[in-house]
Amino acid sequence: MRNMLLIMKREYLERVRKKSFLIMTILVPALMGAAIWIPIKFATKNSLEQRTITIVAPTQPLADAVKTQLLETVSREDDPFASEGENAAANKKTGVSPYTVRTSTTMTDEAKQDLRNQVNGGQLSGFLWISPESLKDRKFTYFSKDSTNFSEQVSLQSALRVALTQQDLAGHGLKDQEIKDVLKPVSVDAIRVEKGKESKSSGFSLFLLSFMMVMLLYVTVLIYGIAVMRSVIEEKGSRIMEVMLSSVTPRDLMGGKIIGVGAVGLTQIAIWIGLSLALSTPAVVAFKSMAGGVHIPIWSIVFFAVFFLLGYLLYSSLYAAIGAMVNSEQEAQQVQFVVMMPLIFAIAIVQVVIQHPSSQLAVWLSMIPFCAPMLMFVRILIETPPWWQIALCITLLVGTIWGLLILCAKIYRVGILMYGKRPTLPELLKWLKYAG
Amino acid sequence: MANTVELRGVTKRYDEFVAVDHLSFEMREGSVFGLLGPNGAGKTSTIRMMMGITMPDEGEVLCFGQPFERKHLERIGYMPEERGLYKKMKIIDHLVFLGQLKGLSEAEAKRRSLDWAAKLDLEDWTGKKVEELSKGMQQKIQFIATLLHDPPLIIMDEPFSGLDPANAVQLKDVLIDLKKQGKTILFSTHRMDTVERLCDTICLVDHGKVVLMGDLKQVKSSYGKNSVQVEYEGDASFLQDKALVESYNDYGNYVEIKLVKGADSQALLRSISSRARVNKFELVEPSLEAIFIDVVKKDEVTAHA
Repeated sequence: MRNMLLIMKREYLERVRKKSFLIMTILVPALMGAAIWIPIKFATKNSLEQRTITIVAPTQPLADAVKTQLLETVSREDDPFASEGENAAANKKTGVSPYTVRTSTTMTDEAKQDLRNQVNGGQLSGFLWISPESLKDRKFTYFSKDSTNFSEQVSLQSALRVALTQQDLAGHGLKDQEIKDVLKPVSVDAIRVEKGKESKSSGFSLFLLSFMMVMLLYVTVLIYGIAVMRSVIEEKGSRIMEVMLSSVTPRDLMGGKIIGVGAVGLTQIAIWIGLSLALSTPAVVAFKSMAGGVHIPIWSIVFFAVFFLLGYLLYSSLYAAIGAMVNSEQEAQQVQFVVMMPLIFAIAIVQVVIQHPSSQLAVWLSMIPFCAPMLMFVRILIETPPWWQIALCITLLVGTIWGLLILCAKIYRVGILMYGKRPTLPELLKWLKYAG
Repeated sequence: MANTVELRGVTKRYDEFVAVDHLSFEMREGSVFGLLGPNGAGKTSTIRMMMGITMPDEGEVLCFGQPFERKHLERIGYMPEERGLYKKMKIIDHLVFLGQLKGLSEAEAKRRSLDWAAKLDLEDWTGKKVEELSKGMQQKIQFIATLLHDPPLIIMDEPFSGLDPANAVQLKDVLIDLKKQGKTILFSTHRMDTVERLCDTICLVDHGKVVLMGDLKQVKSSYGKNSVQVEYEGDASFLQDKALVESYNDYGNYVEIKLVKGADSQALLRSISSRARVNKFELVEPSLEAIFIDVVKKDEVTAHA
């Protein structure tokens, strides 16, 4: 026990003293913030560029109607999250549409070619071609240089729909005011109910917060898991293993390492939490004002620490075994992928789970120990799963960790004194036999 | 005197390959024991079982008169052949860390580390990182780490490999000192000439088995002074004289000749001087290496017969 503590202390101090620890501690949240903040900023300001669009329709009234709708829709939906933040009010006041819309009724082939040339030349961002035929089956074509601008496509679709509905309703004899009433937009605000009370966090900011915290969890588990592996490889490479084994057991060595590196991870998380609670860094302030008062409840931080620890223990024991099996990091890369797969899978599926946290799929996926740290954590963040699910999940996780630690410790014990070729699967089984 | 270490029928197998085959020996307290043999003879495997790093498949290891226990490790200093240090650590921190692992307090480990560093001319380096040191210096640090907890039993696997002669002599002197203090020392090496003068007892192993064991002086005298070292210039055909020369080892600068039993060394001298110029002619005890080669050859003959 004393030896394990000594090894732990060494691992911890050597790591915390490194410059890279300080850099990581500052850089990771900054990058995370930027990764979330920049796309939103762009989506909000609609690429921050003025776009000129020409609408070509068989009749001038239709073209005008689409134009009016497009300008209105865009200024209304300019900031889809506007209702959530203080920014919203400011945005509504200015309500500047990024679009300059022209209309035309010339539907000749030459006119179309001319518009194409303009798009090509950059004078025009795109043009909407409403041919009489397309009016019948309501399938229209928008020609532009960047066909991946989905938000523009959505704006055009809704503008067209409203314009066409208006025209139809007018055709049925409704008055302008009646048409306006019929088409009056609606909005639904999602408020989360937590313990019978309305929670302060609104739907969108919760989504954002959950996503960010899960990413943070993923990154830290991965970084510190890999740190354990690299440390084992380094020890093998520097040939210090046998020197250490003349004083300590492989179990102490592996245990001390895993705990020491894990403590570094916890320290880093504690610093992050401290920083974000202080709310003094510019990134946090900017994030706050943008998402509208993000509220990080204390219990979510507690769960973060719990799932970090569990996830870290699970993956670091695997990484320690890999480190013992290989001789270099290049060799490790191939094996490492197998271990990373469930992690990547969990991150890939996390968005689905955020949107349907109580679905059968989400419930059972969050029970799989290898995905559980991420998926159960995100479920706890966005809803409150029944306590038995949390208990079952943690029990399964702890059981798996226990089994893996025993298995990996055996691989580790034999592996650390093996140099040369990486073992094949049958050889690995033989190792387990040696280790007894 | 009591035995510090005793091995009884120790065997280690890796699949079909038998690394150590029913090996038994005893190390008397205060003796210097040479575990000698070529590469792959099973020396390191044997030591690892003595250190509890691996477990014997058969047989038992006794340390300080008791079956092996981990608490014995605090009384053993082991410098493995595969040795290294944490490259990024400061020398003094590293020594203190290794000392603490052997049960020393932090203050005591630091005090002893500084003493040793001064003794081995490393006092200016204790604040440096391991990676800043030359390989030879790193090995001296390793040496200090092995002895820091003042163990009564010292095990050194290939202790002088990679050292320049000056450093090797410095470490040898330290070891001779330790021997005088009554420590039990085990050397394991394939370079028999490096430890020949240090050992009291030797154990020659090959293919995991003992081929020759005993008190060094007795082993040598049982081979008799029927060896001759000759330095010469000129015709070497006398080496082929089967009536006088049983076998020989050519070391380049000189040749060591084992005489046929009962042959007269003076007859050999006459034979050489008639053909070549003799610079040196000395009747010697056979070197360990010569004995080893001799024993292994005989072994192979019987094995193949």
